[in-house]
Amino acid sequence: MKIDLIYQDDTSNKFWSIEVNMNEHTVTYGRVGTNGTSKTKAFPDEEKALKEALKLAAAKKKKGYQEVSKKKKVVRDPYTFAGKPIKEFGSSANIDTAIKVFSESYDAEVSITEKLEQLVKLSNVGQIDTLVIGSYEDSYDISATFILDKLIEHKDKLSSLKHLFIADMDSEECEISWIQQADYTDFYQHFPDLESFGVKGGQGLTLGEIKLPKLKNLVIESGGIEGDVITDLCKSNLPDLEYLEIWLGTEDYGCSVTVDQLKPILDGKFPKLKYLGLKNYYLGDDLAVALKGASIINSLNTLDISMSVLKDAGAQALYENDDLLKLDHLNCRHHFISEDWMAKLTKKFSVQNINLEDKEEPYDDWYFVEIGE
Amino acid sequence: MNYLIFGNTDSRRAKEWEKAIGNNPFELVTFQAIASGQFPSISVLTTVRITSPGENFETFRLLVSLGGYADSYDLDNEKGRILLHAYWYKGWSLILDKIQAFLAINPLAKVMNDPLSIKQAFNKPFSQQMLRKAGIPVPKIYCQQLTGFKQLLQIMEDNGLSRVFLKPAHGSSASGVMMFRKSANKMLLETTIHLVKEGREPKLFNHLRLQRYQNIEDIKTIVELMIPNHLHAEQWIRKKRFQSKSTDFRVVIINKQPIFVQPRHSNHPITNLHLDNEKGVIETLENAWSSLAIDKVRTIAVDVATVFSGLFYAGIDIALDEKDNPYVLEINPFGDFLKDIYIDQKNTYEFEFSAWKNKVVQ
Repeated sequence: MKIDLIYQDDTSNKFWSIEVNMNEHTVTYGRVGTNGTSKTKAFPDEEKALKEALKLAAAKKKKGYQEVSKKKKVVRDPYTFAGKPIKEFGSSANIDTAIKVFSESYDAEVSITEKLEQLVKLSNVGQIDTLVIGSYEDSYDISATFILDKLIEHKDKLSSLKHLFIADMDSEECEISWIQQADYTDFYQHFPDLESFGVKGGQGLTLGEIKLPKLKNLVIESGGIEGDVITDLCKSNLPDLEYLEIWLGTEDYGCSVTVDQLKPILDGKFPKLKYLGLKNYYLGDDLAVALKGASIINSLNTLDISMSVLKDAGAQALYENDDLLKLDHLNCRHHFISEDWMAKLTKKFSVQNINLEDKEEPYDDWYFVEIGE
Repeated sequence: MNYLIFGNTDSRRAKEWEKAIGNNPFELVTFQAIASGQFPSISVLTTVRITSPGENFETFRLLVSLGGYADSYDLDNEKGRILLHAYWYKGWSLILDKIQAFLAINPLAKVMNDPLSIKQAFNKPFSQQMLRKAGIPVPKIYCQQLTGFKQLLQIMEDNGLSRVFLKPAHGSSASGVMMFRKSANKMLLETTIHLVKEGREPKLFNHLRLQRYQNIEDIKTIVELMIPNHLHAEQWIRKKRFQSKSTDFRVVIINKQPIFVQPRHSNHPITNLHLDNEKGVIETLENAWSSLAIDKVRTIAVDVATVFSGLFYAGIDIALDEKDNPYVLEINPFGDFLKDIYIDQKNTYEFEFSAWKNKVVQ
């Protein structure tokens, strides 16, 4: 038995694991990316070793450690971007972190422009490869365009930039549907080396043809995006794209993406994809049906249709699609699937390979995506 | 020692207290009895506990009627409906006055939370002012009592605010609390108030799920319907995050000691546990933030207890902002009821019982 735990926050990025072998357990701990330190302890019998191991692991979890298996590898979550822990920019920049530059959306004391100016004056600015733009003053009223202009102005200083996320805000800083995104059509040429690119907010978002030949990871988080965004994406030549995550959203928040528009992606437009996330989609059932015969499944490790309106019709389509057995992981978290169909899916795909957490109940006959209303 | 409780017969809190005091003589006096002056006679040392008048429609009807609402007998028992707060508070104050008078002529009756302090705590803008005067940090109040939606927008304009909390003066447990935000062309009201528009007049109900209103007409209707319940506009404090969740603390003080410090985590700024939010673990936060930050929470809870020295126990809601500045958000004389939370297998009421016995013996 082995338990792998990880702890990540603003200041730490460490792991702790315990493995039980016969009557011994071995604890290994250290910074993520190192081998860490190991200690082995013997017990009278295996049962005692196991019991003690579970107790230690529980104590660690109580301190905020999380199981690695539950922390699925994603390019971005609230604490990490492109494999680095997100760290708010103060006065210095640690290049081992994803540096988050932001100002308060309400009552900001220092503007984000000033913060960016401070950042580019650092002696190690040329080594920064991962940058996250967070909230900025009056984010709910002002387009992110001025931030793009600022980044372009300093593109020579930010010459190592490989991973960029724009508008990482939580709902209290700015409602996802209130974020005023920008037109990126002319932006890419200034940062042609980007390997990861992410945006949050669908309002005002124009993706344009993405001219980023080295792009591996693309993340679009929204409560609703227009069909044009998908059309633009499918026009883009991204031969190395491995990770594609799109929160499609709901009509109320401006989603006009049809399942047909997603077809090129399902048919293998991006041949190197290992992770495909078509998430937070109000047409989750239709998407599940459209997965039938989708060639992309053959090359994927993970298919993520979580956060969506996925009901029994969708569950049945998944169940009848044997191609999906080739996946390492099928993520359906946040769904409206009945107990019966959940049991069938679990049996077919096994507990390890399918995520059916967060079963939701419709609210006054209303089925909702996770982010949106 | 005898134990007397003033409360509703079906009160969960009364039942828990009865359990906590074990085999000691126990008697419950209803608010109906108090209203008609039927107090028991006191001949031995007696502990008096006043508990919540909530969750009981007959008591609600009694209180609004005492408060001067003429049509109380036409009221339907509509579960969770939010209305008549101002009448309710007047009636509740009258009951507390009667208890005060009873205590004054019965020196053998020792009250745990005195009626005056309860009355003060049930008036949020007033209790906040008391705390502010004592130098305790509380959110800024922009308007003590709103008169209408238009006025609210004007106040926000005048103060350059894009977001504000609206709270009813006499509510508790997040009931009636609203988070209001506006941008150049959008508005959003998030609240546990559920607007029901069926029938002749729109009605407001408490809901266990956060509701979001983006339509200006709905927002206006809700705010206007809440105005007679006495609404104040308060600074929106962004609570410190733990694993990207809004986090604050329900501190239960007992005899001026912060005995229970219960972190609460939520995906939105309203963290009350009965809304299915997450119970945190204090050690986790001491580890992730700093024990210094958590000490601030404890210290300020003691300061609040000192200001409200007539409360032997209370639940105090405290938040830290992102710079670790603490703010007292609420003091609730009945906020000591923590469901399924124990220290060394003892719940808050059992702690109160031991601490109270020690105090009275001294």
